[in-house]
Amino acid sequence: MFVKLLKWEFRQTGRVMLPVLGGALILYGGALGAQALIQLIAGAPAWLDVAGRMLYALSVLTLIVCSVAAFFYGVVRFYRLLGDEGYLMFSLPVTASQHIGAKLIASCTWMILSIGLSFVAGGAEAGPIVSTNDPELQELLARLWPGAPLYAGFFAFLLVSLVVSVLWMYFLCAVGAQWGQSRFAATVVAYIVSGVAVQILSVAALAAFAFAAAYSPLGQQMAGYFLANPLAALTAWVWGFAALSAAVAAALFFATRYLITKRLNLA
Amino acid sequence: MSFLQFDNVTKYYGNRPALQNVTCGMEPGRITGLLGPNGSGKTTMLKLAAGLLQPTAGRVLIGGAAPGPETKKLTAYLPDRVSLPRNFRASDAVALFADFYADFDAAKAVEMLRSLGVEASQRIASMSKGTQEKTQLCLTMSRGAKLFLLDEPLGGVDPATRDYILSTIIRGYTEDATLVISTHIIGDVERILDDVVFIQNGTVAVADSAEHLRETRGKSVDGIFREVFACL
Repeated sequence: MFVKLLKWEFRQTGRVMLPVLGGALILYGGALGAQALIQLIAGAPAWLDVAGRMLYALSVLTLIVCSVAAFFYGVVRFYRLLGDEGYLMFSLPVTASQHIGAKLIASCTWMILSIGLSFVAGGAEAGPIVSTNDPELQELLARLWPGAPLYAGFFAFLLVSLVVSVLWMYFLCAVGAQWGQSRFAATVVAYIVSGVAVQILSVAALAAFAFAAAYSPLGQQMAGYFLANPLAALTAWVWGFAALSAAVAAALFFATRYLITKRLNLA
Repeated sequence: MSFLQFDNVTKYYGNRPALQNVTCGMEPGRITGLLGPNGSGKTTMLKLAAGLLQPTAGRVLIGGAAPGPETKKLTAYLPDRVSLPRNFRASDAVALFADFYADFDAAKAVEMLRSLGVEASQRIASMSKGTQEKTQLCLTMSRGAKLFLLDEPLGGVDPATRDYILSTIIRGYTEDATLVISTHIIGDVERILDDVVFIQNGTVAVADSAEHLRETRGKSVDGIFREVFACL
């Protein structure tokens, strides 16, 4: 049933996201074509070159905006699930976890696809890699290689953060849905209150950490290790953050599941 | 035990009780009318049976099991509002039901929709509210479910449409299924009811067979309803 639900989610989101992404890619293709044409024009005025580059930048920006659109569309779909559409969707023989999971996977997939395309599109401006045998490239890779676990950790952290950002909004929608007819206002209030609470907690945690690092023996020991092995320490730090984010994602998932099973109150 | 059983079910929305110690059962092969004024708790009972809500206390059993994905396979639920996504086409709705319910008869649904004048490519958003409701009813009644839960299927529709809806229900439901209709419009629905449960302020006021009620009280169910809820 989960696969069927996932298929439906992709089919529904695809109806919006495919045309949006397609439009952005057409714009990008047009920008590339315009740039190529400008290069062919002998003695093209400077403003034309600037216009071509601006169009290119705009097309890459549009792809980035697509990922934001995918995020918001995913949130809107979850919000709708807790409204009238929920009467249909929650009657289907699937669990609440499957509902959350299908929406989360579809939303994140569209976001990652958009971000990936914007990276590829943006990277194209840097010029193609001539050959992997290029000595300069090989030297660069050799210098970067020891940091591979750090980059992997950073990548994992970004991915998990993406999941957390989506689940956070799902959770807020589920909290807002506890107030039935006023759920939109309740969701907005929950967003503001939780945002302020997270900021206060983050500052408090950072202050406590800085104090511990400066004054506790363990903190000083860790600071020493950090200075002696900066790469290993930073890698552990990034992976630690990724693990912490994964724990937050799990907590948000289960809290949302609890709210839409035990305390579901469709508007 | 009844196919749909409520055992001492209590449901609170915040501090407000919607149902209090409700105990009743609905039998297979019978049509039960869940009757009561607005706000009496009918919709809450159906939502509990459909697995959309959890009871605060007590238990709901469908074929001996608590509502969940397994009971939802056996349950056809018609909510009291249009729940089909507005961007759906009629064909999407049919495909969704066909995908998720093994007992769904897609050909029957398409035929019923065609008789309504609904084309497969027509969007839900472009239909009138009445047609949206009828589309939803056709989809629900195209299932071979063991339990049908119909929440106010006659609410806010004209007499001609009521006849259409009632005939669709009678034609659509399988003989051995349990069918529960919640309504406060008794007159039209009385003729098809086998059993009635009167809900008053979240409690069961009367639960009996329609025939026995008429015999013992010498009135139609509609008349008894007016008597029970006279001062409300």
